[in-house]
Amino acid sequence: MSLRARRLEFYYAARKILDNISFTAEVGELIGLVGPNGSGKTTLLKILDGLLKPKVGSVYLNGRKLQDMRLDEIARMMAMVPQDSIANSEFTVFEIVMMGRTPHLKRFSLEGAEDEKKVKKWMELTETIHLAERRMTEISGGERQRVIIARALAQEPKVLLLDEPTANLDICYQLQIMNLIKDLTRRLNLIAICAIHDLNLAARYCDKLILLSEGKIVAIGKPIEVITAENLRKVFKIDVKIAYDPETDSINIIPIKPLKDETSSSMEKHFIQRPRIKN
Amino acid sequence: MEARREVYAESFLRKKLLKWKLVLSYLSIALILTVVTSLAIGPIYIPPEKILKIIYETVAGVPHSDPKYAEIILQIRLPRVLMGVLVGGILAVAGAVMQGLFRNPLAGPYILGVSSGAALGAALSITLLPAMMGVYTTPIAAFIGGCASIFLVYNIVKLSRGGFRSETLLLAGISVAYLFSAILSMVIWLATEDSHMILVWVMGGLSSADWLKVETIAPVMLVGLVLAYSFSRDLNAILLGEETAQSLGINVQRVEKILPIIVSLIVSAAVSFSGAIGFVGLMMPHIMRRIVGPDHRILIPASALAGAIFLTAADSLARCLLEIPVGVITSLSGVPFFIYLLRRSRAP
Repeated sequence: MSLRARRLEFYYAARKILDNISFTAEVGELIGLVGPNGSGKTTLLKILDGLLKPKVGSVYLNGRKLQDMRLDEIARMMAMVPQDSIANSEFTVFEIVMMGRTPHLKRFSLEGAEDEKKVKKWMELTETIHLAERRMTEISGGERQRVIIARALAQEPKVLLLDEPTANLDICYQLQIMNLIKDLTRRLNLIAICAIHDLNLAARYCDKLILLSEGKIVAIGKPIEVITAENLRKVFKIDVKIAYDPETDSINIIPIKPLKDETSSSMEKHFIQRPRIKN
Repeated sequence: MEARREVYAESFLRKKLLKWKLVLSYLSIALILTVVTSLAIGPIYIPPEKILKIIYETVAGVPHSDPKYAEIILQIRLPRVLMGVLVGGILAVAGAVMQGLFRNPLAGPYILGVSSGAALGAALSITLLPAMMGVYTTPIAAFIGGCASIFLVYNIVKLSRGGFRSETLLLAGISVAYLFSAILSMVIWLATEDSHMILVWVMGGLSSADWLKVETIAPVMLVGLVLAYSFSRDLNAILLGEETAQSLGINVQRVEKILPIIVSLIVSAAVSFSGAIGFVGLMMPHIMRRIVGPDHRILIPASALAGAIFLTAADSLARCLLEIPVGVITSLSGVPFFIYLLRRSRAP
């Protein structure tokens, strides 16, 4: 299994969202997509999943062009954990995970015992089986995220795409989810690509990082090569200190200050007109 | 750990299927009871055992022991009751599909303006071509009107800049419905002589039912059910959001384009015989969703049965109340239902 993006370009109306994106993903590798808001992370994931078509370039899945494949073919090889999973669903957790079998079923056939066995296996692995008969509305955010991951796994994909899987979760759930993703990638020999906001989490869990800025790849490689003070200054416009932490064997980013502090400068301008209050 | 395993050894699928079978059997029994009751009541009360005997004699080909009652049951009441079963079923299935597809609790069978189109077609035929093609001028004109509204809606959507989106389809449907209603009002205003007939048609009723109509609409109903059912898994996935459905391998664009046309055509056929009976298609799916949950594979057949029961019962009531149009009864029962919907906090 291989996943390759070649010279991807994408536009929303006339605005260029992605520009000349090329990379190759290896089996067993967790790749993190990092970058500021609006840098094109979600758009790139959607193109990789075939939900959006690139204007230029293509994605190759196992050497085949994604544009030439049917949606259900793609769905049997690739699964997506979207950022805004609809949470107000009346479906039970079991029904939601079972929907992951959709691309494997014929139009009129019902799910069988075999499907149930698989679904239960993934639910045990993601520790969601005890929630099986609860409704999606009745479980917590972290549990919901694990259910969505279980649904993605029920598709039995070779490629797992995740869009901000740790967004809106508290710190304990963030670590749990990242551990789970990392584990799954290793054990199932998946290609996992994960858009992620938190640079510390990204540096700690991902094997490889792709740093995006304004739709272009700024840096690609091992976390320690990508997360440098220089790159972050360029992309995020911040001053940072980067420290190595031997206990987690990863780097920690300590933000110091934004390069251009617009609020404080405008505040100065505002207050400079007025006489300072002296006591 | 061992104990935990045992609990999960039970099959959720088997449990679900069992529940489905139970619901469908209860609804089927309720439908049979409603049909028999509905056949029994009327100006002349015919006891249920007589009805069953008449039906048995007909099926077995034995001469009727009571030809007067047999005549009433077979020629007058049975076609009308069957018409109620079929139209009620079609409307409820259409409502279930549209609500799922648009993820909108207010969606119903007439979302593409089919009812207004059909009403306009019927009104025009009543005023302009009385009995040109015999009795069936009005249904044919109504069907053409319904199709015209579907055609118009899709062409408006094509004109829109954002490309095909289900929101655009909803808006186009509403605007076309208003357009046709406006023209209809003008026709009623101009056609002073026929305006009562037009109004009766618009309110919807089953009093004109006969065997030919039943035979025409029965295959439509069957095809509609099977088609709607074949999309039920797609509809389930679409409930989770368009992109999720797409990443589960469903061609959402295609479903969103094709399914409303299919459903509206079937509704158009039903409405052309019965008039635009309101609220059946809106209410029944909601009530069934409360009972069977959101899975369309049970929701669609359960809604079909519930719609059939409700419309048959409402029509019996209409017959007892001096033949007021059944659409008035269904619409009146819609008001308390809307209050109930408002009290409910959750979306479908």
